[in-house]
Amino acid sequence: MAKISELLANLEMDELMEVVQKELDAGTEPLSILKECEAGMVDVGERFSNGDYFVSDLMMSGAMFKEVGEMLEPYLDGKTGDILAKVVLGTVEGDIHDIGKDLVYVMLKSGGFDVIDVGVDAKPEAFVEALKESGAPILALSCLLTTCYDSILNTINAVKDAGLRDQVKIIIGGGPTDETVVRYTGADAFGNDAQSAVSLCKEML
Amino acid sequence: MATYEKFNSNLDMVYKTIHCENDRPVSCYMGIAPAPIQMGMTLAEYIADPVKGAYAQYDYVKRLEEEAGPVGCIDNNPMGFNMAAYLTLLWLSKIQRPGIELSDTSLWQVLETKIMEKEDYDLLLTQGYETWFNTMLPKVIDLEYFGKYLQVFGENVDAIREKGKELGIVSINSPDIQPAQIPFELLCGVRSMSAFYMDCYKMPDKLVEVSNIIFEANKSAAAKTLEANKDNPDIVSGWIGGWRTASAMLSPKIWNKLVWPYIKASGDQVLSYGKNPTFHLDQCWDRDIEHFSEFPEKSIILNLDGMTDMREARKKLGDNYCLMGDVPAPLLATGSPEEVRDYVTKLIDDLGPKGLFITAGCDAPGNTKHENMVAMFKATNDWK
Repeated sequence: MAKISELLANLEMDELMEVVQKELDAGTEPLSILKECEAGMVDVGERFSNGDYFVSDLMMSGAMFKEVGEMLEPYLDGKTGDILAKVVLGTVEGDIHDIGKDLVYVMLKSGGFDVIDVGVDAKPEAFVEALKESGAPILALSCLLTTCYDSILNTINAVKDAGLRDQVKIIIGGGPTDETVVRYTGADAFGNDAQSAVSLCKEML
Repeated sequence: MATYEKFNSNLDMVYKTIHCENDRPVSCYMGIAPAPIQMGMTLAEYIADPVKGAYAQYDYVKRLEEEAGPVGCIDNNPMGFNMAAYLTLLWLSKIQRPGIELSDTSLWQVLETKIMEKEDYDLLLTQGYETWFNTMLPKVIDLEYFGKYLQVFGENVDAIREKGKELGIVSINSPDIQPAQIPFELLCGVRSMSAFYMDCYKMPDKLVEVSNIIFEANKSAAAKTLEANKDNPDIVSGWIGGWRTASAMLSPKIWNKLVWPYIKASGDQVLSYGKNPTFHLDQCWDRDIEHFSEFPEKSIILNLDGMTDMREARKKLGDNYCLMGDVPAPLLATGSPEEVRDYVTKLIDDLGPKGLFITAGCDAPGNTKHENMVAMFKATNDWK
């Protein structure tokens, strides 16, 4: 079973699928396979943080994780692994970029978070509604355009107006976000990449 | 008859900077969106009337000169080509346009969708570049729209170029030279990033074959533009872009196989005609920046966006490679003039003025504060 995490961490797609199928055929508990995959993703994240892996590697591992997830789904019967917390995620209004957001989605999912994705070009109300419905303690805003800093600001103001700001930590990410944007928008922190989104969310709990 | 005194003086300064023989840092205007906005146009109007937009760029540069002192050059000739059409050609992606798919004030954006299917690699391999390209292009842009703006460009580019010369504004990069772009960028655009990155792991050798076909076709086209301009000193540089090919994005295995060989070959081709390639490198290229020392000293421009460490680049490459950059977009949009001034002054202090163009990282964002733009140029001019 340890092989599954290694295969995922080493980005060996074909062999991983074969081994997962064999394990399922042998009656292995699907949740334990999922946990193995999560362990593999943790390894990927560490390699990325250490500078041994790059964005393409994260994307490849994310695709592998997703594919295994789809393979396991009929066997899981609605069961999920341990959930650390819920996170509402989306790209802010006026910005249609989804690559970074989707990568964060996979990394958070594999890191044990339940992610509610409100999509791209999402209005502040969409984020607020998702926060209210889910009770998520973390809001993750993606932004690739400097011209959309005000959309981050508007979203955070909407969270304040809804009376949720004290209960919700807000992280931002995307190419042009940095500490100056955190100051400008009143977010709590920014992440440089998808892996740092996972670390930030864990720190926020 | 115009004497072009100011233009020739600026041109001399630009060449000296590329050759790392300048005494003072040279400021360079780089901002497609802020110029029309500052001159009272919406981005929808800019997209619809790129000729008016081109003159707005000149007007804005003149305004900056009045408020901040000399602006040495601009990175790209404003050329009067519709940005959506231009970016479509660069990435073979669908571009969402202000005033059409987006609001009037929104910036144009790439719509990330998979246009090309896996089978289309075989179309390229069996039927060649032209058939493949002509199959893909109508899928990403309305050809009537594209043709209309191509015509507008053709009718106006000479006058725009001449106006720049009269005003003394040197454009480092010109539409007259079209270097061969890196096939990876084109394929990544048309296939979509997630699908193409997966292809890189699953079929790297096939992608080399595909890339070679695209690159050879682009090189042939590039050779014509280079040949036509090889004796014209006003045409300084050819622009080669790297975004999704950045080191931070790709594993070394992929980068070494599918990116660097083409960057090197494209740069070599530009150099072989006596022109200077500008490598516009977005995202972080720290890991591989040393590769650029494979080009001769004093021959290339590395245009960095604030994510590659310019100081490290200087250390690794030495004093004889020209660097251009890198006032970060967030600072220009949200910082204060004092912060911009401090950033620029420190950058010049640390890097030294030789072989240094000071400009916005990547491209100044549309919401750059005017006072910050002024501060960037003034700090460069005031540096002692």
